[in-house]
Formats: sequence, C-alpha cells, structure tokens
Amino acid sequence: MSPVLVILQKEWADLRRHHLLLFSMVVPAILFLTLPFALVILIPVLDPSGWNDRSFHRMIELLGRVEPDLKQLDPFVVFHIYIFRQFVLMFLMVPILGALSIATYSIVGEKQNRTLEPLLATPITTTELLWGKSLAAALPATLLTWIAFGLYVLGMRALSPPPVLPRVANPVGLGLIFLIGPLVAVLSLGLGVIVSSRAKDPRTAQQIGVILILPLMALFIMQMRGFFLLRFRWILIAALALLVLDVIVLKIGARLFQREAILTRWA
Amino acid sequence: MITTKALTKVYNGKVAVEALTLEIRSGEIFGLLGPNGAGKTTTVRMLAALIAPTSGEAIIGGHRLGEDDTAIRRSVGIVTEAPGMYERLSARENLELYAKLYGVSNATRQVEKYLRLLGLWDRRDDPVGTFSKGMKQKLALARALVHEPKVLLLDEPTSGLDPQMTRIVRDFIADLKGQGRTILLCTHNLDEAERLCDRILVLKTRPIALGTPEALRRRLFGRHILVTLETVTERILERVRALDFVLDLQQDGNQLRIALSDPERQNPLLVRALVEAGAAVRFLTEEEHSLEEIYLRLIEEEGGERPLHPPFDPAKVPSAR
Repeated sequence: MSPVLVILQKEWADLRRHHLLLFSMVVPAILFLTLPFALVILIPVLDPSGWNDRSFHRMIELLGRVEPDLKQLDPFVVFHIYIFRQFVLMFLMVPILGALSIATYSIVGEKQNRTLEPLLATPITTTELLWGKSLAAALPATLLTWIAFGLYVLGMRALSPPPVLPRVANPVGLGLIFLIGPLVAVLSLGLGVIVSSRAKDPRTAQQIGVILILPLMALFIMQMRGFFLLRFRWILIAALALLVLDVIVLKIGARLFQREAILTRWA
Repeated sequence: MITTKALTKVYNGKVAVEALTLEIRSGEIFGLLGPNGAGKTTTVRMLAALIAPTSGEAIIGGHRLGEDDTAIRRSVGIVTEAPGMYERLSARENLELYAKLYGVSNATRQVEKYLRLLGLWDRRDDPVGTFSKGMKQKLALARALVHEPKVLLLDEPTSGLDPQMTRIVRDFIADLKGQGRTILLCTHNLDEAERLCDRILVLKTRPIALGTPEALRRRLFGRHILVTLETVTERILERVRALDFVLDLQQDGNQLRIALSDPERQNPLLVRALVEAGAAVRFLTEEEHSLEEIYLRLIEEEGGERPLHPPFDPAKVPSAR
C-alpha cells in the first residue's frame, strides 16, 4: 500500500474517534444548512414586512439587472432565492474550518504527543507524509461541504417554490461549492501546516482561520446588503487566484515540512 | 554494523556532537552514556537518518548516511525517548501502521508476533491512551521491531518505568542481543548500562572514553586488592612493601589496600608472603568500582582542566569479545 494511503487511513481512523473534532466540523455545516430554512420559514411568520424591506428591494433590483426574468417572479419566491443564494457563500466556511481543524489537530497533535519522530524514522518521505495529511484534511472537509450542499438542494426542492432551486444551484452556486470549495480547503490546510510549525496547541493554530473567514464574511454581508452580486466570471477569476495562492502556500508548507526542521525547530 | 568517523552536528553555531568516531560490531549492545545535553539523542537521530550531520560520515547497516538514507531508515528500528504512540488508535492499529510504512509483507503476522511476545495481545484492541507508561514503552519496542531490523537504536527505553517494568524491558533487550541484533542503547541508568552493554561510550558532546565497563574501571582506578587480616604488624607491612610487584600499599585498620598490575598472577605470591610474615588472612577480595564511580570521574575530569579527548582512540580500546 502506498505510504500516502497508509497515512490517510491512519488519519481517518484517528479522526473517527476524535469526537470533539468531528463535532466542531459538523456544527458549521448543520448551522449553514438549517439557518436559511429557518429564515425563509420564520421571517414571514414572525415579521411579515421584514423580508420586504429596503435592502431586499435593492437586491431585487440588482438581481433583476443580471437576471431580468426574476422581476416577473412573485416577490416571495425572489425572497427565497435571495436567502438561499446568500448562504451558498456561507457554505465555504465548512471546508475552511474543517480542513483547518483537521490539519492543525493532526500536525500540532503529533507534536504534542511526540509521535512525529518515530513516524519520520520510517522510510516515508516528507512529501508523502504531507500529501497524506493534506488529503486527510481536505477530502472530508470538501466531502462534508458537498453532502451539506446536497441536503440543501433536497431541502430547497422540498420546501421552496419550484423556480428557486435552478436559480440557487446555478453555475455561480455550483462553482462556489464544487470549484471554490476544494480550493479554499487546500488554502486553509496549507495555512494550517504553516502555522502548525510554530503553534504549540491546535486552537492557537486555528486562529489563522480568521484570515480566510473575514473576507468571506465581508463578501457575505456586502452581498446581503445588495452592494454587489457574485457572477460566474468572478468565480472563475477567484478560482484562478486561489489556485495560485494554494500553490504558494503548499510550497511554503512543504519547505517547512522537512525531517530535520520538524525535529529540531518545530518544538 | 555501525561505523562513524568524526561525526559532528552543529545547531545554530552550537556544537551538539563533536568528532564522534566509533565502531559498533554486529550483535553488540553498545551503551551511550552522558549527562543531559551531551548529544546522545542527536547521535541517535543522526544514525537513524533523521537529521544530517554537519560533518563526518557514518555507515549504518551497510548504508552510507546522506547517500542512502531511506535504506538506513528501512534497516533501523528506533525507540524514541517518548513512546510517541497514537493514543486514540489501538495497539494493533499502531503497529499495523508502522508495519505498512516499513513495507512489511506479512504485517498482520508480525504485529501479532510482537504483541504476543511483549504480553500485549490481550489488550490489542484497546486504545493506547488507556495503557500504562510501561505498556506504551513495550509497544514502542514492538514498533521498533515489527520490520525485523538488524540495528536498534534505543533512546532511554526504561526512562520513567517502575522497577518491575524496567526489568521486563531490560530482559527483553538482552534477549534481542541473543538474536544477533546490533543495539545502541542511550541511557542515564548506569546499572542498566553495566548489565546490558558490551561496551560503553561516555559522551559529553565529544567522546570522553570508550571501552568495556571493566576496561574503563582498570583505566581509571587501576586494580586494588583488599586484604583483611586479624592484626596488621610492622613486619607484615614491610614484607608487603618489599614485594617488587606491589605498586601501592595503604592501611586502614586491619585492612590493607594493595595496588597490583596483574592480580591473577600476583595474588598467590602476595598471600604466600603475608602468611610467611605471620599474617592471619581473613578475607581477600578485589576492590570493585561501580560504573557510577567511573562515569562520575570521567565527567568530572572532562569538566576539569585535564581533557581526555586527545588520547582517545577507539582502535586501542579492547573489545567486548
């Protein structure tokens, strides 16, 4: 069996028993999955005029410029589209937080338990080890995002008017989840590797996540307030930029992830 | 099996190991003694191809350090200072992980063999986090052996263990020697070194002394015979002093401490001379110096103004066999 697969297997066996870590990964997914449904169900009940306020109208106007057919839809349907589209962006928190949590727990945890030295004494190369750890962090985080998005789609299909789903699971939404999602997961784990080389506990290492979460939050709020609307072209540009960033961050991580540096400078 | 020549490691301008030259033979248990910070762990890490030496060379199990590091890692088993086990994984999963990383073809059988051998088979599926320190240390030994390496590097394998577990681990190490493995044992425990090691190197950044415990003893203290008499008279003392092979004589009550160069040959002559002088000999024994005394003297001398480094020559030190 390839050493990368051996490490992957070990990391997942460990992850399965790390209930706190699993919980911390699943909670954001559940939150971003349920919150928009709660909003579209509860707002019209609790605050009948709340969904129809000024910022909502600004958004409708913006949406209408990009997709003129939306103007012909019932405002309540547009309200659903508006809410569900916003939260697709928030789904990117799942791969960011998930990959970061696994990567930092995996590397800083190995430092704390002093398991890296015997591991590095085996014939495995540091590249194989880094690949194993990276895949072990990126794959579950990405998979969780996709599963959560799948449930999101099923939920919309069950609870929202028919025009909503094709307008949320559109190229922008799918691009965010299936293109940007894995790329931010890789960026997040790459930053996790870099910061883990210095951090003494996983929580300190995870603070780096703020670097990624803050721009995402800013995008979310700006889009919510109707300042702009994500378009597919922007998704492609962002994907290219993220790809370049991923390569840079992984290269820095791989440079730090050398036997001697790990044993003598990571303590 | 392990040879090093002027092996040196410098970290950020600070010398961790300097000019380490040694030859460890196949099937030998070789002790590395030294105070904290003496460079023992750095030496083990260099020999395990974990860190690169700053200068010097080494051949481990026939593979040259720096050129064939993967082959070195494949042929070496290491027990690190901390057991370093994955606590949420079971004992079996921990060993299987390493067996696979070492490319062991019959991993399941090897894992079972060592879990049984070290008395951990009944706990094979329990998370290692529930194990005592001694059990973890035994598991670390199993991990080091799972790929059947010819060379074992053991860094403080009994550190922090209770006396019973220490004994079990020591007996196991002694058994490994019987299997023809070459073992480098780093230890603080001088009793352990004396019991297990064929030869010992005292290290304090650089090598201070190398040899069998017996050879080091003789080199540092010479050989002394303690003779307890019923009474010590001036006639007896004069008779002993007159013997040309007696190097030194000290009296403490009715006990004489006599320095000899070759007690096996000279003791009968000494006893005859004592009896002829009218002495009634109660006991005659050779003075023993513990390894601790040897070690402390060596470390003290190294810290003083009389460096032992220039005369050090491994080639001139008698081997264990």
